[in-house]
Amino acid sequence: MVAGASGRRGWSSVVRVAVAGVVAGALLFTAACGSANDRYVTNKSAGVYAKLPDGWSQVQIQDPQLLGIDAREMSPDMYIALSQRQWMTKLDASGSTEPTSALAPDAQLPNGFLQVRQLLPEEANTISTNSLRDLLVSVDAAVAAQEEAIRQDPINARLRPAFLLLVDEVVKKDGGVHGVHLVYQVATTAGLATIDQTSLLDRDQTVLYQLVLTCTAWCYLQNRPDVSEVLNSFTIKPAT
Amino acid sequence: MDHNDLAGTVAEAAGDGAEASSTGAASQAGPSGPVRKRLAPWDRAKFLILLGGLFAFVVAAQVSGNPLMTWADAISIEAERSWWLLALIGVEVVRQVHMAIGERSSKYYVFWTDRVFGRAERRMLKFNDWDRFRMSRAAKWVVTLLVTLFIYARITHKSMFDAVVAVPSSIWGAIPMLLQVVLLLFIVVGQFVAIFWFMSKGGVEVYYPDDVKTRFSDVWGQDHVVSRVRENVFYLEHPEEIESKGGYVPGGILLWGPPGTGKTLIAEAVAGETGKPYVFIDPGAFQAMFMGVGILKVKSLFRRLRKLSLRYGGVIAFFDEADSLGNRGQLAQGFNRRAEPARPARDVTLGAHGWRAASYADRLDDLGCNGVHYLSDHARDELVAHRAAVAGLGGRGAATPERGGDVHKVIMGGMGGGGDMGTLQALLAEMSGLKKPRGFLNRVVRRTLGMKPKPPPKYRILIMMATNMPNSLDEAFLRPGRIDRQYEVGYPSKAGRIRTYEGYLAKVKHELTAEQVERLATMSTEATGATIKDTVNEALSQAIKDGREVIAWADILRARVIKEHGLPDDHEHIERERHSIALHEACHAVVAYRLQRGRVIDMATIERRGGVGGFVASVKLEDSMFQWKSEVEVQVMVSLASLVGERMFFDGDNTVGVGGDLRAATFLVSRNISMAAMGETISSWLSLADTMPINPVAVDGDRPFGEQVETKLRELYQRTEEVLEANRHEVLALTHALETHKTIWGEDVEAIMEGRLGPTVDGRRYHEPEFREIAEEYHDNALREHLDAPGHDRRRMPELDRVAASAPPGPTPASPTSSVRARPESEWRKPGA
Repeated sequence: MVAGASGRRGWSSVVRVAVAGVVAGALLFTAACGSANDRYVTNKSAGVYAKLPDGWSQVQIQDPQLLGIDAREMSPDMYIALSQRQWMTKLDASGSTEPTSALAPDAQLPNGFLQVRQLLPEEANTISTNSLRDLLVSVDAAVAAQEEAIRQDPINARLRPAFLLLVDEVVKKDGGVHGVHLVYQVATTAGLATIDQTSLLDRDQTVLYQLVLTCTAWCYLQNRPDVSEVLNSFTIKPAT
Repeated sequence: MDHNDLAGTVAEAAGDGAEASSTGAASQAGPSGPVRKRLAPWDRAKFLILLGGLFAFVVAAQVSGNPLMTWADAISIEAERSWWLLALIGVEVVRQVHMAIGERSSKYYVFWTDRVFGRAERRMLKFNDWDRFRMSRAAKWVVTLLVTLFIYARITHKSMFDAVVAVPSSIWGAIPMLLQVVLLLFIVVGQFVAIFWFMSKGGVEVYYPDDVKTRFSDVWGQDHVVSRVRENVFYLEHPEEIESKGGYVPGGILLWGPPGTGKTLIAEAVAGETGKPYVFIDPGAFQAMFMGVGILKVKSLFRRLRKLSLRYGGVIAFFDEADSLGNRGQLAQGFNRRAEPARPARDVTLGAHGWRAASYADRLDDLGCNGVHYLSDHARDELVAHRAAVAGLGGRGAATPERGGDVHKVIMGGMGGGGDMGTLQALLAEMSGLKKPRGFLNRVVRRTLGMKPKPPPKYRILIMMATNMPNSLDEAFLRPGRIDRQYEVGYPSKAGRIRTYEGYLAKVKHELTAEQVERLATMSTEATGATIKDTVNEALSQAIKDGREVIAWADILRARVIKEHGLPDDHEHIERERHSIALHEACHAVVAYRLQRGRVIDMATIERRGGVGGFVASVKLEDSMFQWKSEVEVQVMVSLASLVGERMFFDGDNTVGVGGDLRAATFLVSRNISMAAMGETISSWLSLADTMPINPVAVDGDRPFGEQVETKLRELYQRTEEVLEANRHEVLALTHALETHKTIWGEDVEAIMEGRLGPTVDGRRYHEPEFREIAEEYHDNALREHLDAPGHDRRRMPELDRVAASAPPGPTPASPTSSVRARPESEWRKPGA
């Protein structure tokens, strides 16, 4: 009887070990199934972090994005220098991982990029918070052009605006990071598109951080919560 | 196969070691068959804890520094990235389940150990041990390379295959850094190498033939040792003389003996005479600040010796003050070394089988003639064991009081002297180590090419050691093969002392005759080359003090007194004491002069030296080994002479100054009654006291031992009294001479006793009739003063000898010891003044 009781205790411990192992394994595999890796945009060396909503994708872009500049007009040396000084990740709510254009304003789902760029000395010497507003679009000129159009044709210009500045605010974050947050709409061939641009500089104004998201105006309106989630998670902790 | 068959198979497998090695755990047989021995909880959980800890670490690393990362997301990310950790955890869980089942189910356990692992293990056992070792080693290499490659691939963000392809270029790119690291290591290691190299140098000097001018002819009085040393040097220089006959060149010589007897001089002479290089090793050569340097020094020394030996066909290495090499303490010593009382170097003996410290067998010498070698081995063993027990061998390291009352010091154990730990052992190994092939080319390259290494050449290295503390040497030094021959360099012979005196006197101006030099040598039985040199130098110093350049006999005598007895205190005895002290010493001198044989009086003095008011010193004329009973009695009578004399001359009174003399007399009598049949019995009282349980014991129990001693002392007292009564006049004469001069020489005593002219006094005047009256009257006066001391007008001491000494010397009886020309008193410097 005693041996039998001992045997039962022995087998129960085997069962306990097996159950514990199975439970632990199940937990771990369940956690692993979530594939949370894609939800975090992380560059620890630059100290840049962002969290994406479910279903969004990120693809690192190796070539430098020459916004507003024709690559054919740039010298090869400068092109290489820029490619060595920047880190860029394309964000896309469609979940696409194709390394297509970094910015597609006419898309039906939010997309954009997160960029970190070591400024060239010439850039660092001349850049200012105000000049950050004109990195993608010359905002002041566009606003002036829109106002001029309203003066000439108030009704038509208001119904089909070429440019509307919705948000223009100064941003200050921890560690001396500062810059601007702009939300504006521009007229494209596919209709009115909304661009949400956050451009920041570090304390020494030597590193540029940009988070730009865009899609059509209706798309932006519908996906505002996701865009806000990305914007709110955008964190910069420069290495000291 | 039923269950029993299975169990039997398992037992066989366990017997072959297959089961235990395959599972890594022992089995235990239960009532229903063998099962696996249960694992302790820790053993069951440790790998899971380790792997779980690793997974927790990588998860924490994911969370660390990322302000947005949640733990759940981090676990998810790492579960995807470090899936292999989870796989290992799963494997470990399965393994533990497997083990747990094996602990409970015999069938399950037997199935796996016999059918699964047992078969694989049996296949492995077909390989021999060496092949299995090589396979195991190859597997370890493969695993190590794979792990390294995996880490490298993770670091470089490449796949394993790409990482393999990239390895050569990475190594090529890393060469500059590797070179820097190698250079840094070279500098760091090189510093230590350089420091130790420099520290391993020094303390060793090499002399080549003709560098040293000392020859064997410069060694005086050690002819027997020199002849043996020459023999060894001859064999070193002509090895074929002994090797062709099947012998070998002796490898080592130990010269031991009292300080100053010429050991180093003999070694110098060897250096001067030999045609081989001579390496002198300083006593402190192996002392080092850092551990290990001593060993390096030893190795460096012997590397050099081997090189010199090959180049010159032989080499001599001399370790001066070899006791500085130390020993490994009592634990390393043989039986004879345990609790061995420290003894003078002269007591150390050399046996027929080589050197050994004075053993208890040696001490049987004082039990019987020839060390009782006439007895059977059994009887001798019993004596040795008994003596050892009596000497307190059981208590190692403890002081051993002897029956005489002396407490011998004991050589304590431990590392005595020498360099750091290992130096002595290194020296021993080098002196007679493994005869192995030497050199990298010889051992490695030839072996690689399939050739046998050349045997080591015959190194002819003669090790010479000198010490005055042979007890301090490690016994292992002295075994044949290391130090084959041990020679005592004792006190020089009389001929040697004469030659030494002549040698050193030849370097200064002197007027000593050959007879005086011989007498000097006779008086200096324990003189060494060093003490003789010092004495001659002191004599020259005395002569220069007197404004002379020529050493006279008296200078030599004064020098001997200074060297042997020290300088007297600047103290003047009061007149009453002076007379009694002089008479006391005169009695000693008279009895010694009349009765002693084989000894002569060296000097008599009443000048105080410390607590000694005066003394009569004598020297032996010959190196006798034994004393006769009659000679002991004479010694007792000489000791008793002071008591007898004082009572005889002072109306039965005596000073307490006789206490020391009585103690010596009593000791001699009691010791010789108890040991040498000096009394009425023939039993050895010491032996009785050692063996009988009741102490004290006596053969004639109705008569106390002290009574026998007292009887013997009274007998000798009476005989002494007779001698002094017969020499009353001589006692008073010597008393007068001592009071006058305070110190007189043995020749003066002889001159007074025989009525001859001495170096200090004219003894002839003391034999004139008028002196007897003057001396008796003077003594009577002193006696009255002693008895009625207050207010007595004491007569002045007569200046008889001063008158005599100033008289022109007359013809003197021929005497070999008094051939010094008599001089006026004014020419002599008062000894001790």
